[in-house]
Parts: sequence; C-alpha cells; structure tokens
Amino acid sequence: MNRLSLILASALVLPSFGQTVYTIPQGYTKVSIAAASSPTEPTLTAISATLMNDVEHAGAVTINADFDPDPDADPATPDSIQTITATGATWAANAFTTDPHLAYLVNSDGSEESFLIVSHTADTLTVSTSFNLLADTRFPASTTLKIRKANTVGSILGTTSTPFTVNDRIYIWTGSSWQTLIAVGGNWVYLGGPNNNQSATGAVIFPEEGIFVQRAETTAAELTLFGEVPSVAQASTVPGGSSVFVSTRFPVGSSPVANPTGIRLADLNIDEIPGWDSTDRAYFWTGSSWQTLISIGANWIYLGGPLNNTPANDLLVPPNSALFLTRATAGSESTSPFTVDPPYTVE
Amino acid sequence: MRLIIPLILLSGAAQGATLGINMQNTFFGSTNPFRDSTNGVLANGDLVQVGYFELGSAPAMDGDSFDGFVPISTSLGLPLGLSVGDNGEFSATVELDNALDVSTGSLTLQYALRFFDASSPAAATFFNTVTNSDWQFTFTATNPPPPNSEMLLDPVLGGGTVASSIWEGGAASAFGTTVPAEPIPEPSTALSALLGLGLLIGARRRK
Repeated sequence: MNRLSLILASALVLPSFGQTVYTIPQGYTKVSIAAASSPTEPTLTAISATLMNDVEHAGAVTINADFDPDPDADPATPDSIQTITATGATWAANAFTTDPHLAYLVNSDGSEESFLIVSHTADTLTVSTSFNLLADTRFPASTTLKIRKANTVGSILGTTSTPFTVNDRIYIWTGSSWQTLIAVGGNWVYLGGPNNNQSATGAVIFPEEGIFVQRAETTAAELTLFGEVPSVAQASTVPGGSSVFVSTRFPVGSSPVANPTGIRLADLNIDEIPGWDSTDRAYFWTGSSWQTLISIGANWIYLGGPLNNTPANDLLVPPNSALFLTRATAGSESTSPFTVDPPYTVE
Repeated sequence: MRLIIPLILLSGAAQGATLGINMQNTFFGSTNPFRDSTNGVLANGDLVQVGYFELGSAPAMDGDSFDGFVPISTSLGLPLGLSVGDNGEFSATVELDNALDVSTGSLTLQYALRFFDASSPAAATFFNTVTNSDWQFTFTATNPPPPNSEMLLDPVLGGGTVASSIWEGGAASAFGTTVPAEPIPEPSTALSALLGLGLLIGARRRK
C-alpha cells in the first residue's frame, strides 16, 4: 500500500472541497463510460460507486445474539435479520427506511461492512444479513456504527438527467444471473426477471456491488458521483461456492504513486479471503473480454489470453470498477470476509 | 444485433450450456398486444410458445416456410409453453439449458415466438409466429455468464425489431393470429380412420 495520505487522496478526487478534507473527506469522483463505435457495437464497462453518503448517526452499538435466518418462515424468501442496539439513540421509528439506509458496522478486524436497515425502533436497528454477525467472531458484540443513506440505481445512474437512453443497458449481478435495467422516461425499469417492468430507480446499490454498463450510444457517458471517501478498510462477503461481482471499493488507485491510475491486483487482497486457493478464479473485464486470473502461492497469474502464464500481481484494476469472483472452494459466509485496504493511509 | 455480442463471443460451450432470454411485447405501460383474428386482444392464458429454428432453416423473409419451428416447453414451467397475460400483454424471462431444452447439437439457433388464440394448439383456431435474424443466440457455459439476450416487441424498446421481424402470416399480420391452425385429430377420430382404412384394405383383398 502506498503512503499516500488521505489528504492527497482527497485532493485527487475532491478538487472543489479542499477546505473540508482534514475532517470529512468528501468530494466527487468521475466515472467514464466509453462511447460505442456504432449502435450495433456497444461498449461494456465495469463500474462501481465507491463514495459514501453523509453520516446521519455514529456511535457505539451492541450486536444482539438474535440472528433469525427465516423470520417469515418462508424458505423461498431470503430475509434473514439481526438486531443492533445503539447506545443513547432516540430515533423516530423507521426514519431510516423511508429512504433506504445502510448500517456500517466495524468488524473484528477493524474493517467496515454495510447492512441494509429494514426497520428500527428508537434505539434498535433490524438489519438484513445473510449470516449471524456474531458467528466465528466476525463482529465483536460491542462495536461502532455509522448510518448513511444508501446509494440507489437512481442516485448513481441518474434519472431525469441520466446520460443513458433506452438503447443502453445496465446489468446487476443477482448471484446467479444478470438483471437488466433500462432508463426510460426519467425512471429505471427492470427488464426481465421477477420484477420485470417494475421501477428499479429506488433499488439499493450496495457499496461492494459492481455494475456492468452497456453503452450503445455513440457518445461517451460520464457519471459524477459525490460522497465521502472510505477512510478505513472496506469488507464484504464472498462465501464458498459463490459468484460475486465486487467493487474495487475505492475511488483512487495505488499505483503508480505519482499518478494512481489503478489498484494493483495484489493489493485487493482477493487471495486473502479465507480458503481462497488456485481452484478459485478472478475475472477482470478488459473492455472486450474477461481475463481469467488465478492465485498460486500468493502470486497472481494470467490464465489464458495474450499474457497467459505470466505474473499478474501488477495488473492495474481501475478505481471505481469491479471484478467478478468465483469460488470453487468452501467457506461459510461468516468466515469469508473480503477486505480491501485503502490505497492510501490516513494521517 | 446490439445485444451483448462481446460476451456471447466468449462461448466455447459444451453440453449443459445455458442461455437466458428476456422477451416481451409490453414495457413501461406501452404494449403491442397479441390479437386474435377479429382484432380483439388474446385472452389471459392463451398459449405462447418459445421455439427455435436451425440457422439453415430459419425463414429469412415473408413467405418463407416456418415448418422448421421447434417449440420448447421443457424448462418453461408449463407443459406447452408460456401464456398471454391481461390485455394481450406478454413478458417472460426464460433460462434454457441446451442439454434439456433443445434437440439439436447446434449451440447457435434462431429463436421465435408462436402465439395461439387458445390455451393449447389443439384448441386453437389461429396462430402466428414471429422471428427475427437478430434473435440468433448462442448457448454458453462461460464464466462469468453473459447477460440475457432479448426478444423485444414492445413499442418502447422494440420499434426496430418489430420493423425487421418476419411473421408467418406476413407483415400485415403482425401481432395477430391469422394462420389457420391445423386440426389435430381426436384419438377416437384417428382410431376410426385407421379402422376404416383397415376395412377398406381387407375388402380389396377379399375381392
């Protein structure tokens, strides 16, 4: 990891908010989507939203030992939950669910993980979690919480001012297939799948989530995303047997130091997911195809393609982008954190 | 074809390869409804079959034969296929597996929709079939998988597709069931016919 200070990192992405970076590193980052060479030759770009919305609450919490894997007793509904009690909070009930909000909790390694708030009382949040937060010491019972408004399809991709048209496509990975979204009439709409033809504008885009953008318009698109730069390591879950499309989590790169255009593949810590081995795969979107990458003995190697069998540790993954990870190995959710360190240090 | 070509080209699929398709005639409140022979909208529950042509047998223009159409029903959750919703609307997402759903070794096929004015071919009086040269999709076993392919006939997204589609009943029949369905003999009728034929042959031999 480079010894870039957070101030420097902030300066790289926050040119208009230099007065505030010493306390709250807020600003903007730009995500570029290349133009199609013709309407029948669209471009595909992997992006992610790495900046976070403002903190609306911060403080100490207790994670309660009440994980419920199936509160509605309907095995078809993945709606497992757990509660978190905040010290001294006096919230209006469900104020954080009118617009979707995320609870950022600090795990046992000191990294932040986010969970959707599904309901709450004056001091107790019910969050959506697919695993028991207290299992395998993933989280300590007493930790700290920040509540932030969640990013949504509409807030990231725009609605009335979106650069996207009905000719473009957005693909969200559901865990087993791609869900298509289309911009139409100032809204985002699901195309196909269980929510076909319904509005997707308010659907939550989690910070660990990658987005695939297919641009058929012959003009480039640029998204300007505002928010707070993550200042600590960001974690998510890549359980055994799963396929995930994961964000690079940070808006700036780690290399080269003077002009950080990318995050070194080796710095993303993918091979440090517990149990990750040479049977697992990472896929990097080159702009025209997936490049397969394999980790052997703590070294990344290109598998296939023009660089087949050569070292890939220094492959620069663009900031605000995403990688596709497929695990053949085993590992429960609580034992499978994927933690990305900031490509800068906070001073 | 605007759809996901870069990903599809990654295929090198074997048996067990998959293909997802989004298909619809309605989107965001606008519909090109499927209609019957009197121009009324098809009833909720009327049959829609997803099927395919081998590339060499796909119709290329109005008037070409649609005899190569092979309906798929195996993975669609219903014995015969899918169905029309309210007001002639149709939308579905299908996930096909080449080992289960197609009886050909070809991984690239041209897909089509056939819709009937009843809930089964046997009960139908008329039907129609639509296909498009852009609806040539490839089964793939690649990882990551490609996004779903698209067969869009709605007014919002499908304008260009509608203009270039080929309808079994001809361009003027678009969205309407105009092709007479061949009556399928009832089992008792077929048995009677066979019996009659047998009697006729027997009578000739006796002569």
